[in-house]
Amino acid sequence: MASSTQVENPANQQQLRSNMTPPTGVVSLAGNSTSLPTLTLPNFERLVYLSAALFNSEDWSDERISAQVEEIRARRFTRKNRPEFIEKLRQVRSDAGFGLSGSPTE
Amino acid sequence: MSTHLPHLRVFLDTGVIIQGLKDPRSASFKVLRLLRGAPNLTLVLAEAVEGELQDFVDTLVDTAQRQTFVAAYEAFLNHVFVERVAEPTEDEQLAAAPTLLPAIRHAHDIAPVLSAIKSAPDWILSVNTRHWGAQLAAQTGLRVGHPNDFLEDYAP
Repeated sequence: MASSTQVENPANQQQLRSNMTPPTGVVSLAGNSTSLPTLTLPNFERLVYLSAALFNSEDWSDERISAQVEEIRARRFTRKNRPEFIEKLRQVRSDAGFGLSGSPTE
Repeated sequence: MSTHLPHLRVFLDTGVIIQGLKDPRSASFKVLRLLRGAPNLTLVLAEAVEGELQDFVDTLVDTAQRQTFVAAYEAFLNHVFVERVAEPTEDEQLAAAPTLLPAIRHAHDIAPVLSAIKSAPDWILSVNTRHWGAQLAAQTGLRVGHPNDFLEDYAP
């Protein structure tokens, strides 16, 4: 919706939150177990390869990532919303034959 | 030049961004790479999704993991046209709930899904095709798919 959106130029991107401080200086690629195609990769791709090396032991499947996001989303939902709002949604869900989360039988 | 390409607005669910920044073999990574510097593509980025990314970063106890993930995210954003979408109000969420819940099941999905619907993008991409799939597409009339679906369809 036009009233709720804002288009930004890449040259003027807003940075993420202040506590998401990016590393400064040269990113070390030593010691990782992912083979790097080249050290002349653009910064973004180099960082993703480094990230892959650092998260090496983790499962990145669609299912695992989806489950991880669902956990984050559920926690955020409870933390961010007022109990009255959650109760209203619970009522809407109940009226529709669903529990607050998960399957219709919950 | 790619001026003949149609302009597409692409909404990314949180999982696509997380997976794309962690796995260079994933379709999600290919989508992020495609969005970077493409004059005909705009990332539709929901406030709700950015909040979840922040929450994900907060779960990372390893400093190197956290800093590298954030740096990769910022490197990504620095070369992408971004259209930000405000978080839906409580009233908006309550009004949409009866229609959306049969498709998405989870109440906590309402804010990000409603953000996507409000922005009416050309594509909504998610790796969670169980909750963000055909039923949601049918319910909203929007194109909802996995990053692979977008890559197969998009021919620059």
